This record gives sequence, C-alpha cells and structure tokens, in this order.
Amino acid sequence: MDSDRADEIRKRMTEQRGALRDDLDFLVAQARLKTDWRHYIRRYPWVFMGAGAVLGYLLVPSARRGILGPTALERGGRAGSPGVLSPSGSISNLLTGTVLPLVVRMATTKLLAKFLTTESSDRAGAPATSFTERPRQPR
Amino acid sequence: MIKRATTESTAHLSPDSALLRLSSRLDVIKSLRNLTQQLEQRIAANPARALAAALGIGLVSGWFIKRRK
Repeated sequence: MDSDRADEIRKRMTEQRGALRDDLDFLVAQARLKTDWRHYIRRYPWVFMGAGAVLGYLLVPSARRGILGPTALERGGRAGSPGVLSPSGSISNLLTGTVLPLVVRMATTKLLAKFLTTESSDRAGAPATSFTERPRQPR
Repeated sequence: MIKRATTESTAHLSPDSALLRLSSRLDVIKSLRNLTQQLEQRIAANPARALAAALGIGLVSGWFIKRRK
C-alpha cells in the first residue's frame, strides 16, 4: 500500500519536473524573442521604416543654422546671429554632434565584438553553444 | 463611406461601364496589396538592410529638402 503511494508520488514528481523544464524552455525562448530587435521590425515593419526615414531626415543638419560655417565666420557673425550655432542648439545639431557619434561608436564596438567572437569560435572549430545547451560547470 | 463614394462616382455610367470601372479599381487595389505584402516579406527577410534603406531614404530626402539650394 505504501509502496503504491510512493510510486504514485514519484510519478507525479517526474511529471512535474518535465512540465517545469518545458515551462523554462518556453520562457527562455520567449525572452530571447522579446529581446530580439528583428522581431519587432517583422511585427511592425511600416512603423520602423517610417521611424528610420524620419530619423534620417532629422540627422541632416539645416543649411541656415550650421556649425560656424566659413560664410558665418567671414561675415564676422556672433553667436545667436543667423548662420551661427546658438548655445542651445537644435535637435539636428544635438543628434549629429552627440547622439550620432555615440551610436556609430556603439555599433562599431558591437560589430567588432561579434566578428571577433565568430572568428575565434570558427578557429577553435567548436560551434557556439546556446544558453540552454551550455554544460554546467562544477564549483 | 466607400459605398457612397462608389455609388456616386458610377451613378452616371451604364451598369456595364460601372462594373468595368469597379473591376479595374479592384485590380489596382489588389496589385497595391500584393506590392505591400512583397515589401513586408523583404523587410522580414532582412530587417537590418530594410532599416538602413529607410534611413538612407530619410537622409537623401533631408539633404534635398534642407541643404539643396
């Protein structure tokens, strides 16, 4: 009688472990999907295309309010006058002066790191292991 | 609204002409829908390239609108 009950409990525990593993795999897959930027572009393609076009438009600085161009200097213009960058600046100046170099630097670093990682794994001959396939290291 | 516009625009035509005009409009709508679906598939196939293309379109437009005299 007791052995039957123990077997039943073992069986239920095994089932629970299997369900837990399935849930965890599903959770990992969902987390990976939600952190993938391509997923959002595939889901909302036109929103991202419009945002990209608007961003490209904003990145081009205005011709009249440039950064101390030669024409402004030749005219002997002062800050605040037309053709000379005012201290506050505009959104496009902020983007081209601060945000764009930062984004380019971050993208270059990421691409370089990705490239180097791929190169090293290719040379080692071992395929890159995913999060779930990573073997557990003994402590 | 679409129904009213369609009725008003084809009211002066004979039934055959109205049918012909409506079918040609339907063909245009179908071809536009096919085009957008193909574009969506191409975007999904290569999101990075599509985003770069959109950024390039914005940059070129901005250049022509803001900088070109």
